[in-house]
Amino acid sequence: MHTKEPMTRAKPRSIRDTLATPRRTLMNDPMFDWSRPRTMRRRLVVALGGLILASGAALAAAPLVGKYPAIGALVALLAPMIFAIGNLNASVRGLTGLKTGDLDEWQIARRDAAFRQCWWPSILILGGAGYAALFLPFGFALKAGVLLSAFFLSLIMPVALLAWTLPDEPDADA
Amino acid sequence: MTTKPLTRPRPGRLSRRARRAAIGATALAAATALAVLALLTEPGSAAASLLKLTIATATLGGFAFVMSRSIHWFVGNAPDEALDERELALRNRSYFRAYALFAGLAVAAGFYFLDLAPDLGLWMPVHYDQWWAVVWGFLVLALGAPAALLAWDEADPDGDA
Repeated sequence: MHTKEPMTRAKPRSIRDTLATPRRTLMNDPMFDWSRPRTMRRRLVVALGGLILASGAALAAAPLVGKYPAIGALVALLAPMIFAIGNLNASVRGLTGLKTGDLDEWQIARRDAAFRQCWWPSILILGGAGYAALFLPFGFALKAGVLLSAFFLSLIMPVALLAWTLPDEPDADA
Repeated sequence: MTTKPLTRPRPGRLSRRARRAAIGATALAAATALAVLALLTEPGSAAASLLKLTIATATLGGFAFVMSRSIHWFVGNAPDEALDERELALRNRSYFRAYALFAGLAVAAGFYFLDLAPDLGLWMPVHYDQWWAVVWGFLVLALGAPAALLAWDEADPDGDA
């Protein structure tokens, strides 16, 4: 995979430094090298998919377990989800999140192709979830859980597809 | 079984400005019609039925016209084998932008329906006709947004951007 950003730093940094770092630099930072081999990227995709389904299930289970345990589960899932989404983005060097001007030609082509491949699956998932929410005789919590999962799955689908399919970088260890 | 090869429409002659005006007017007309159906007509009334019929006919007619005549629809939806490298790049870029548009609208709609509308007592679709307007809008956007964005971005036929 090509990159416009030279790899210069490997030191761990504080959260404050991380937030102040330009996005392009952050997405190419060597601290995310552990997530860049394809095997690791695929593990992250599976983990994030599981977390999204779990968050939908937590919402859907609210009538069974009570409102506060369900909210607690959602809050508990938030941190690992943020971690997984951030690392998944960095594992593909921010292809889906960076501005077009920050990417090279190869990266732009891969990004755009991934979004095209994800368009109809995403529409189908959202449409199916919307249909279920509107017309099927489920409770409100289950409908909300299905919609939440469908929405997040659609949002992460392009980056997940890229993470799953991009080849290993030429200088990767794995 | 043999399959008929796709017929490529002739290159468009409309200037970019005219194309953008046509896309904007179509989107505005569709949004207005759906808003009138959802907000102003009485659910289940003859006026609502007539408006739904008009919207459905206009949408299907519009898509049939565009599908048979528009090079931008062709580039936006033809199989990869039917396009050259430049067209593929343009097409994929339009899907990237359409995805961003769709995701933005989905976030805004989710925020509105789950938070704003219940909290502030704003309009929510309740009756069948109102849901019909929402679902129809979703379908039209899903079908039309990529090709519309492609046509929106494409340079003038004479090559001037």
